[in-house]
Amino acid sequence: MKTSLIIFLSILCFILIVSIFIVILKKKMSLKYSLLWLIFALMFLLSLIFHGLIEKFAKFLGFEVASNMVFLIGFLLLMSITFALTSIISMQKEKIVLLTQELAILKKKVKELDERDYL
Amino acid sequence: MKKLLVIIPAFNEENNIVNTINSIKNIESDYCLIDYIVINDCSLDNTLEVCIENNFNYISLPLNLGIGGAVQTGYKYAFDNGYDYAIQFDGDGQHDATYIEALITELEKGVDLVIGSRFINGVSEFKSTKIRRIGISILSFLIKIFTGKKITDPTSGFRACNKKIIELFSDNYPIDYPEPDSIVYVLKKSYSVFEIPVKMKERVNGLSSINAFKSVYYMIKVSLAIMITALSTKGEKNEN
Repeated sequence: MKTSLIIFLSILCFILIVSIFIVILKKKMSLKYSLLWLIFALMFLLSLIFHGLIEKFAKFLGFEVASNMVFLIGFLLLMSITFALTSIISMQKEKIVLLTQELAILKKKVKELDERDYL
Repeated sequence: MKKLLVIIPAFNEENNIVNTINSIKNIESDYCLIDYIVINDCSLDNTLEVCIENNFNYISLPLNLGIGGAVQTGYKYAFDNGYDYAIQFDGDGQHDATYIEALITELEKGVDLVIGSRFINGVSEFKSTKIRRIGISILSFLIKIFTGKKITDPTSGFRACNKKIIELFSDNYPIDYPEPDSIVYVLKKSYSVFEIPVKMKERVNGLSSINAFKSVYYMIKVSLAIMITALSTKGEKNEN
C-alpha cells in the first residue's frame, strides 16, 4: 500500500473515531448502540495498522485483491448495523403504539374525572 | 345482566359516524347492556369535533395507529372496564347493527370469537369486487391450511368476542394486518371461532383502508403474517 493512501485512510479513521466519541459525549447516541460503530471503527483501524497481514489473509482465503475482502467485510458490517437498526425500530414502534393507547385511555379517564368534579 | 362494548374504530368518518352511533343506540339486547366507544384514530377531518358535539363516548388517539392499533385500544378499554363481551363495528356504515343480537346469541352459546360473514347463505348483496373476493378466498385457503378451520370471510371487521378473547387481544393484537391474522392467532390458541351470515352495505362515504392498487402487496404481507402467526403460536394452548 502506498504511504499517501495510508495517510488518507488514517485521517478518515481518525475522523470516524472522533465523531463517534463526540456523539457519545454529547449524549446524542447511547453507549449501547454506539458499540456497533466503535467495533466498525476499530476494525478499520486494525486493518490499517496490519495491512500487510490483511493482504496475506486475503490471499489465503482466495481473494484476487485484498481490497475485495476489505470491501466485503465493510459491506457485511454495514448490513449488520442496518439489520440491528430495523429490529430496534420495530421494537420502538411497538412501544410507541402501547404508549399512545395508554395515553388515550388515560386522557379519557382524566376527562371523566374532571366532568365529575364539575357536577 | 352482562355488559357489552361496541368498539367503533373511526378514521376520517365525520360523515358516517353519527348514523353509525345512532344505529347502535337503537339496538337493544335480551342478554346484555350495550355500551359503545368510538376510537378516533387521529382523524384528519372533523370526526373528533363531531364526537364532542354529539357528546359521544370516545377515545381519541394522539397518533394515527392504523385499524389494528385503534381496535386494540378498544379491547384494552373493554378489559379495564370489565366488559363481558366486545363487538368490533366499523365506523363507516358498512356494518348493520341489527345483526349485533345474532352475534351475542352465538357468544351466549359459548363461542369465543364470532365473525359476521358476507359469504354464508348469500344473505349479503354486497360482496365486494371480484379481485377482492379472489384475495379473500386465498386468505381463507391459507387459514384452512394452517389451522384446519374454514373461515369464509377472514377480512370481516364485524366480529364479537367474550371476556377471554378481550383479555387476549388487549395483551397481544396483530397490529399490522389485524383481521385475518387475529383469527389465526385465536384458533392457534385453541379458542373457538364461528361465523354467522350478515349483510354488509357498500361504503357510504370515505375510502376503504385497503386501496385496490395496493392489494397485491397487501396479499403478500397478510399471507406472510398468517404464516408467521401460525408458526409462532404453534402448540400454545389455553387452560380450557
